[in-house]
Amino acid sequence: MPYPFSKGVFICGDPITVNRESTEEELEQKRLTLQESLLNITERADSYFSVRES
Amino acid sequence: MVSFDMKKILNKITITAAPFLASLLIRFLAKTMRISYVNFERVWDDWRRGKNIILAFWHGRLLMMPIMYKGRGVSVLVSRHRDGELIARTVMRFGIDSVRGSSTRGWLGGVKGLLKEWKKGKDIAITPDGPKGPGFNAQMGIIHMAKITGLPIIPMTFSASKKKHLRVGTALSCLTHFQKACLSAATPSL
Repeated sequence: MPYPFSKGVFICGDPITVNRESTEEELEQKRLTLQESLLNITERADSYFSVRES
Repeated sequence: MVSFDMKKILNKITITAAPFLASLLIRFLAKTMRISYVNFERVWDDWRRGKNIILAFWHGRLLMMPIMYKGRGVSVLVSRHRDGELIARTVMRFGIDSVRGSSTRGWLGGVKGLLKEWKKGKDIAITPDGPKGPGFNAQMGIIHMAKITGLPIIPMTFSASKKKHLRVGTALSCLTHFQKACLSAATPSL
């Protein structure tokens, strides 16, 4: 939970689209892409205020 | 039975009061915090042009999400359990609808409801790790939703410069303990 009067940041990852004709393997690949993206942006958000982003 | 009635009344109070208090807290935090938005250009553009999206964020980053939403309407997938009810009632105070379902007990659970919302022209929000976890592990349901609808998934997150790590489950278990304490205080011990 954020503290009042602190600074907050929302971060978006790149959009992920899933082809209608995707195979099971491709779906699993997309699932991993989403998971990686969420882990990445969350790590980036958590260090956003300690590491000054350029 | 006295205790049974007390339990029902307390439950009713919790389910009404907790979402109200949570929404006050979220609004208070939003008012006092300085919030930045990174890489939002595409999302804002989609909203302006009325193009639907699927929002994806970890369950643990759910709290502040209601204040980020600036689209034309969104429905969020929440569990059928009591914590889902509390979340549904909290986001309702921000004009956000919800669909009850379960990502852990098969992705089909909430899909029908979500498709209905999408057909009404709404965005969809899903926590791909679900309320029960395993945390930070995306379930397949959201990928199937994206496949069926053709909508892009936008991964999203939130963090703050100062925060206390508190899982949603922790707050809820506090509530349960509070209720139990009230109950035992209200029940005459023989």
